[in-house]
Amino acid sequence: MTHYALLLKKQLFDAFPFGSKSARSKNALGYILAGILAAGIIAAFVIIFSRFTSTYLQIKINRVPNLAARQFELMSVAYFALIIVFIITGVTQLCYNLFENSDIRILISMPFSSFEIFAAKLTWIYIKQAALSLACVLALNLTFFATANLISAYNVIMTLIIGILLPVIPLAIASVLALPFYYLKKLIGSHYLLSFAAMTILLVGFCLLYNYAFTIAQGLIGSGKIASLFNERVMNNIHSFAVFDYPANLIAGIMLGKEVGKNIGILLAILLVSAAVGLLVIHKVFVRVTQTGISVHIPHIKREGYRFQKRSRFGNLIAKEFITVLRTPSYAYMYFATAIVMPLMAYCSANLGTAFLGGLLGNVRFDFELCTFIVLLYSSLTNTFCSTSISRDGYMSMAQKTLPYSPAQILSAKMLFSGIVSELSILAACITLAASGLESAGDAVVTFISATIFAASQIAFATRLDLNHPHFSRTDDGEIKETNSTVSIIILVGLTMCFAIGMLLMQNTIRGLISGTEITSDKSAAYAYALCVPLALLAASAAFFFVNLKKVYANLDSEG
Amino acid sequence: MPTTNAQQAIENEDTPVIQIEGLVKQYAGAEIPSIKDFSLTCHAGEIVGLLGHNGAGKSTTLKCLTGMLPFNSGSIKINGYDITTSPVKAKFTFGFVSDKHDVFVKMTGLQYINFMADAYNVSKELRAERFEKYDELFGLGNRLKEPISNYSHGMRQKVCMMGSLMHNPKLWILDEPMIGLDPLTSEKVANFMKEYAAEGNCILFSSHNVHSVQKICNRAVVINKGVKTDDFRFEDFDSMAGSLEEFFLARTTENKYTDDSEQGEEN
Repeated sequence: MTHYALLLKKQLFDAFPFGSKSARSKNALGYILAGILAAGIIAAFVIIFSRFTSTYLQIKINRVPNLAARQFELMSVAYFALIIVFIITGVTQLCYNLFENSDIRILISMPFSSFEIFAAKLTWIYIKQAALSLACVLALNLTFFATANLISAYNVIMTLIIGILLPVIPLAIASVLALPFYYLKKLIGSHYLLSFAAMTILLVGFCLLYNYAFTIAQGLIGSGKIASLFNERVMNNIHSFAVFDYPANLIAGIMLGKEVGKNIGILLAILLVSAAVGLLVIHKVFVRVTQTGISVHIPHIKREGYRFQKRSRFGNLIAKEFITVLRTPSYAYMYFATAIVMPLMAYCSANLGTAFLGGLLGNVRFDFELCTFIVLLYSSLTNTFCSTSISRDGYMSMAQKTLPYSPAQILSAKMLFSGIVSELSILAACITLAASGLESAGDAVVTFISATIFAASQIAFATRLDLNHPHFSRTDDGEIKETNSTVSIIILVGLTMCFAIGMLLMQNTIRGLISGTEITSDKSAAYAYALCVPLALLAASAAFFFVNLKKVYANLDSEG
Repeated sequence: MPTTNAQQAIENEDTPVIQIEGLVKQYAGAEIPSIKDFSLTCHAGEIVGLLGHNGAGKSTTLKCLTGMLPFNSGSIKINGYDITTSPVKAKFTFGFVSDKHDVFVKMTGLQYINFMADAYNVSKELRAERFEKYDELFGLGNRLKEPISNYSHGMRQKVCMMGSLMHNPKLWILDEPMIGLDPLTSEKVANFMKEYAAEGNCILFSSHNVHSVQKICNRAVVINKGVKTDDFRFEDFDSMAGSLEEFFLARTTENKYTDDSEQGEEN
């Protein structure tokens, strides 16, 4: 294990490159933005989980309260959910770091033992999982204990210990699943249309389920009958599950001071066995993959004869973008599937929003304002994909510079491709909203124009930002696996602009609600805001896009 | 709008295919230039080998020549077109094979060849005709229907060569072309290069392999630490004493050994 520290240092350097001062400041900006996003997500979780906890702890069965049982059930099920999340993230992390990252090919040819490489990579995965786990467990436990008035020094200390140790068990389970998952991914990944269709169906299913659950929850919260969801039969099932969902039930018991010694003993034994199994399995799998060179070769379906099609030169660039995205499952999921599902998500959200606002505002209608805000919001999230337009080309971006295309042709092909998908998605969303009566046809047209201008501004801004600071992947296929500071900036700027436009559109409502005065609708002002603000943003984005464009493109260097 | 045929793009047959004058390239953050005052003129019918050790500046020169990288000073003209002021016209007249082949891996070999043919606006008939010719030369056959991600390094090299030749470029530029090719294909490619140059085209390729340069080229340019040290035709070189390898080592290793020893002391 003489090289273990060196290899671990390499992992650290890969994650936090110590480049020039400007590069460091760009990275720091990315981390700050990612931190702001994470803080937002945690804040939302704390608010929702706190409300749910106080409601859940009051549930009575046959009019008999049982606070201790409710506390145990809630903690046990929450830890079970966390373990599932860590198994999923563990499998993807193991696959990427052990099988997909191109550094493995170099490392195995160097004088390091496979166990040293494996140990360093596993340690790094564990450190990342532990950091995530600590954040999740802290948010979960502190919210729970604060709501249940159970905060104590013991709870805080145990929260820290469990937060750090929790990933051991999911990683052990993930280690068993990593190779089958890798093989399955390769197998499905080679059938591009199949994997794309599967992902779209999954996403639609998830969206419908989310809408169904949210509608039920909204109805129950609105009527104050949330507790009726948890009837005797449901509560008995939850209790039975909570008692036997090892090892989550043990952690819940430790946290609540229930049979602490026994639970710690069993948990330690499970941790030790898990760690041993995890180390053994991953080591065996890793050695096999690296030393015997398993590379899953999927035979391609043969077509008869050669077909030559002639496209226009510009159409050729668009087709290249399409092939790259469609044949990279993660890109196809992020972009096409999200764009396809966007109209459904917009419909679900507008439906819920209309019901919510209807209850709040009575007869005053804000359909246009609400629908425009929702379409802008979802299209903004779809367009986040443009923030890797340049980066995802990897060395291809350099190869393209030797072809007889001008920078304007290459970049406009990228933007047009993004624009076509985005436009179709926005159009489908507006038609859905108009057809379902959530807004009038005339309003839908203005919503469409507003979202179109907003999408164009976002695509131009994201493409140029990525050109300024590309983050090229180091994997064999150049696939971008992780988000970067550009993605964080685009998400934050997109969301901020959407909410700013939303606030302007709904300013009468907000003002009325705050002051308690009569709420009125001013459609003309809403139209003006919906069109003028995106237009101003488009002008700003266009100016940003064209400044020094040729020089920056000429200096683009995927190896620099 | 540039024409599809590289031949037509050249306004004057006497125009040098490559005309590099006083090229200087310094990477951002580097203390010294990677290429210093490099000049080179190549004509139709020539096969020029750019010889140099690793890090001598061969790839950087080719990257500047093909418009991949900007340069600090000097000028580059390809078939009469300035790569800085008329980049698209210049690029229509050459084909480039990079030393990195991890590109367009999501396409099948056929899709890549079609992509390249479309980029250079090659007609359907001409691409079918040229495809037949190069398919026979490189022998990828049915593997062309597979995604490039499934290809070995050598197969990627071959498909990149096929793609770069689809528009029958007046200038064919290759960065370390023989690495990864099997002996049979290397032999075929070497013979093809000679035939291609004999048709009035020019070939420039970089290599650190003295033997392949001597076997294929009729002219060699030696570059060391970004500076052109020698430029000679083999017909002149034959009259000199010693082998090309000895000459190359004598011209380039003196400084290299000095550097190595300095590095060794630091270590």
